[in-house]
Amino acid sequence: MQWLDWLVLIGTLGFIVLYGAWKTKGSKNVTDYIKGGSEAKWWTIGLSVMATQASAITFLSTPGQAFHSGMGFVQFYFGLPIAMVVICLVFIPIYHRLNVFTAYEYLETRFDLKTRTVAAVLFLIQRGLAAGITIFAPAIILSAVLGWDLNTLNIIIGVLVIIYTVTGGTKAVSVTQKQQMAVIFFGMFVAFYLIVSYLPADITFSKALKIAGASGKMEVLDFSFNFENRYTFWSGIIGGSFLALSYFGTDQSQVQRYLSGKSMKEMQLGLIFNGLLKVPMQFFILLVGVMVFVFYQFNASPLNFNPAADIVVKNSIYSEEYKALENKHLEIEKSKSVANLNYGISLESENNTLQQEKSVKEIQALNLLELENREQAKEIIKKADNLVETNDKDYVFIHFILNNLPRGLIGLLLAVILSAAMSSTASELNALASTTVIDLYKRNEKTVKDDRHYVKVSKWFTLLWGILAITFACFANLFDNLIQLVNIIGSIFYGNILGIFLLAFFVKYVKSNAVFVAALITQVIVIIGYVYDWMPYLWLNLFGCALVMGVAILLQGFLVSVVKE
Amino acid sequence: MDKQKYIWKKEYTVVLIANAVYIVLFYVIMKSFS
Repeated sequence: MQWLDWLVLIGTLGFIVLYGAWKTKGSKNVTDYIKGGSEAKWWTIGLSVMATQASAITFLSTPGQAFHSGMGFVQFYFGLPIAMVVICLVFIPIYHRLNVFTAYEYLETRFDLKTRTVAAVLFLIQRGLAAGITIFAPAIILSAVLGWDLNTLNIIIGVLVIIYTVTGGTKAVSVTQKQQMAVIFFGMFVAFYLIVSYLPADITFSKALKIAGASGKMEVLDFSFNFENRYTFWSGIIGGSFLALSYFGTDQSQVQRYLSGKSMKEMQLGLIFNGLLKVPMQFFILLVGVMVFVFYQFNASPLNFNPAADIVVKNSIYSEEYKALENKHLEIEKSKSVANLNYGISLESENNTLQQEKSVKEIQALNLLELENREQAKEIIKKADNLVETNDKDYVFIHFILNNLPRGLIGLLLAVILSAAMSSTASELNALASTTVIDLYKRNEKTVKDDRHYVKVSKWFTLLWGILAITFACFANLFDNLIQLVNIIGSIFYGNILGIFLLAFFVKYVKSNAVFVAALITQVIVIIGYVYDWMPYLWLNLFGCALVMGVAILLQGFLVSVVKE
Repeated sequence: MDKQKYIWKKEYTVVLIANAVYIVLFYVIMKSFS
């Protein structure tokens, strides 16, 4: 990091935080603070929804995903536009008509207070933990590659977000997210341009795509019904719709973004904007990763991109064994560079099909050798220290940034990553505070207080959730495989919450007592199912949703027949 | 609770068609560069 990088990084983040806090200070009532005055236009809503979903991990991990596994991950987002349409068609008109502040408020109108409270509490547990991870996940990667202190980084990210989220509430979140998205898009386009320009003179963009294709990185679509493959067209369309529906339709961190819209039309257009841009945006981020892959076909790459793994193994008794693998890796890379260059040259003439086929076979054989070598290296790292992370996909892009981008741009790309972390965290803190105030505090207050009181309380709860998130982030590395843990917690609760909402929207026959009991039974069964490992945890979403709906319908039938008797 | 009416808007058709076009484009890209 040079002084210019520091200047760009501090200047960019400092401007966003101070501008956000200054521009939106002085909310006088709850509508101002929690719904941003209900004056957001569709593009603000669209950008805000996208910024909330795109955390720092999106920009650190997705290019690494493409580097190792190609473009197939884009299929994960295929269900999102379908979910956007369903939310515009069903969810938004109801939320808008009832003029709710939170999604859970609607559940009281449709069912009763206890159902609303259960859903709100489930959200607070799940999102409270996730907010800590949103801070911790980029902090651990940046601290590993930059040598910064992990806890200091957690506190810096958290405090920056707290400053403007406490000051300006939802409006501050939206205003800063527009600027953060501008920084993110600008930074990613510049990175993409530079990666392509760093390729050898003979390798055009089109040839680079062919080279990536020769290594299987351009397999965008997989129409197989293989459940072993996590990302296929079908899992994207079906599973992706389901996940997006629960996330965008019932998670307050997203619902609050579009509830700030000026009108129902603005809210709907905001989500349509997201539905139009999300898939191309993810495709572009993956393409950046594929270009990083092509770049490393002609330039040296580390055997494992995680610097912590490298240090651990080199200070262990396995150091010599690891160095032998590094030498082998170097030899393979040299051969690959020549093979890829020959393939690139052979593409200039259409009559060179024989040479092209020969080169592709050679590249594929070398890829297999490289993969075996990398796997052996991971085994050695595990032997040296079982706790160190050997899956290095989160470190690929940041390694490229720090070792190849010019001065100033390293600062810009770090600003991209931290902006993404801040934009997601801000939405989470904002939603956690709103749910605590509206669904728990205000709803259970015996006396009616004025609006200024609730604004003040909202600010205190935002601060409290911010401090909790930072604390959780600081203790997060005490747990193994923490990101997976949070995904598991999410999967345990998400299905149940979505099921409650689907019952509310579509099964008018089911009433409050049946859904409340069904929700409690479902939650216990899902937890038992997870403990006894009935299914991979991602399927718990679908299981929880189907179970709560099925049990509630049966219970309602039973209750009706008892009443008739 | 009053009956909910679902009003289809042309924007919904646009977003679904646009995403179908993206998938066709991805197929073309995959076939061209794999």
